[in-house]
Amino acid sequence: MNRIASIALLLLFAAFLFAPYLVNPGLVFIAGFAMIEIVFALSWNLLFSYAGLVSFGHAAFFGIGAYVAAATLRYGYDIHFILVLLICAVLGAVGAFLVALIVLRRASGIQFSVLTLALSQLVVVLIGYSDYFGHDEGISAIPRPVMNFGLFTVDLNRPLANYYFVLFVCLVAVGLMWLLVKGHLGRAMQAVRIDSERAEFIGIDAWRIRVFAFTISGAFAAVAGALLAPWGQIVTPEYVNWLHSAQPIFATLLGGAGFFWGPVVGIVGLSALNYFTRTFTGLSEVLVGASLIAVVLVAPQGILGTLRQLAKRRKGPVKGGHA
Amino acid sequence: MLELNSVDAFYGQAHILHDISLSLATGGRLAVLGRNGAGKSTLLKSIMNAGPRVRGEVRLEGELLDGIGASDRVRRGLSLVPEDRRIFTHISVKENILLAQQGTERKSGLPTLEEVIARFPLLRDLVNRLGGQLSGGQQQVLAVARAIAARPRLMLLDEPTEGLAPVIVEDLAEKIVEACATYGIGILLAEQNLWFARQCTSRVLLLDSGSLVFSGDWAEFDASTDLVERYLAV
Repeated sequence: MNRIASIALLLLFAAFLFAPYLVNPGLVFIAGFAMIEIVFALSWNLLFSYAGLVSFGHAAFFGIGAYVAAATLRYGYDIHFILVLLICAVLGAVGAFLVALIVLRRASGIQFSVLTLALSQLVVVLIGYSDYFGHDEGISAIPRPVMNFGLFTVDLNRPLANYYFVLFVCLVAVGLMWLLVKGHLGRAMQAVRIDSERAEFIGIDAWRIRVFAFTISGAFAAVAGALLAPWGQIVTPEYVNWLHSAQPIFATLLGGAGFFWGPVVGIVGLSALNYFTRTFTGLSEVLVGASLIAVVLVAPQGILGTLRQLAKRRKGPVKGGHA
Repeated sequence: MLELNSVDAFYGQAHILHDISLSLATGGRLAVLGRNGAGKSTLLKSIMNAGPRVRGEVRLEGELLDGIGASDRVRRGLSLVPEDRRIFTHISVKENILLAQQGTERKSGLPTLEEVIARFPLLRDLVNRLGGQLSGGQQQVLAVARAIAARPRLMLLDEPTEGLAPVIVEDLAEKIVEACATYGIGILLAEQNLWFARQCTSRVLLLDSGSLVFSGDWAEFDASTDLVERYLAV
């Protein structure tokens, strides 16, 4: 990652850190959503940029976390919210593991992508039939938890505590994903993405690595979903739908495929675009779509890819690879 | 250590290898010679279960490898350095070597990165360079170093000298023999370069149109004066 990108990411982090003191509550609310979407997009990017898998139905795992957390809070189960996050992570991982076990045995490439889409749409249909999950209306008026940690309590009904709790969990999730991709498992995932046969020749079981990546990715997507329940206080099937599955894809293309931080830049870009076009009724989606087309045509490597190219041009050849 | 009994190999309907049997003792070094298309690469890939459909028995340390995938064969101690080197171009030399060590089941007795680099000094100044930024010769040295770093029981080398400068070929032969002797690694070498094959191995096996036409040591090979003319001359 070049210096400009590092500085930009630091500035971004500072913006999230001080947002409650710098901008109005409406923007803070959007920033919270953006952080949740960042974790979701990074979880998808683990698959795409590292394991070479394209999931069109990743919102299903986000939905598992969102609905389980929403139901736990809404129906008053007395479970510590940290434990709820962990349960959601485990459920997301188990769900993803089962899907991977079934789908990756039989399909790869576009077949795999379409099957993930079909399975996620099946989840949408099942939610539509469920009284417990509120049919098409979802679960609303979700209460925010008060977490007792012994020495102190964190009351998510307080806006600042709520915001910084989301920021903290997102930072932990991003940190864990960063450690994963920079460790030997990350190297193995990349090896499988680049050339699975080559990876097999040095003893890496490509299928196991893909199943592992899918499982971990499902866990992080579910944690992102679980954070949404107390933050947004409403969970609807829209969050499970294919349009939501497309969000991390757009973010990764916009920010830069092949970069760990690409989806972060992409989500911030998309959130800004949505915010600044919010008053243009009916035009917002058109502008978002047009921006994406422009990025794909003009800067197919995304924002970070373009920055890297500019840096290369300025300084001559530099070390490439995953920033 | 390695035993092949009546092995036939197929690509689709094409019957490539015919009734190949061979055995190689622990630490043994065997060259597989033959013209282009004789079946040398297919033999190595058949042993690795890396492409062809195989009929017959392939055993390692007595264990039948039937149905065992390439990555599991690597964990059992086989290592293939393929013809096209297949190093990872997007990661550094160091990471290529570490990745190979990650793929082995052996947890002790692996050479350290420093030891590997010391054995292949050509890589010394390239440790942090991306694989894709190396020359063809450097990539080949890395491919061999990477295989040795995982300390396999048997290293399968598929035409490692192809496209290399003579000076690199000479150096590579010396380094391979030294490293394999140190770590007790056997060699199965598919090669067209007779000089290189002699340096690296003690026995020779000759293939022609997928069939075994000669098996013996180098003295026996040299004694059969017509072999080169009949099976290796272009």
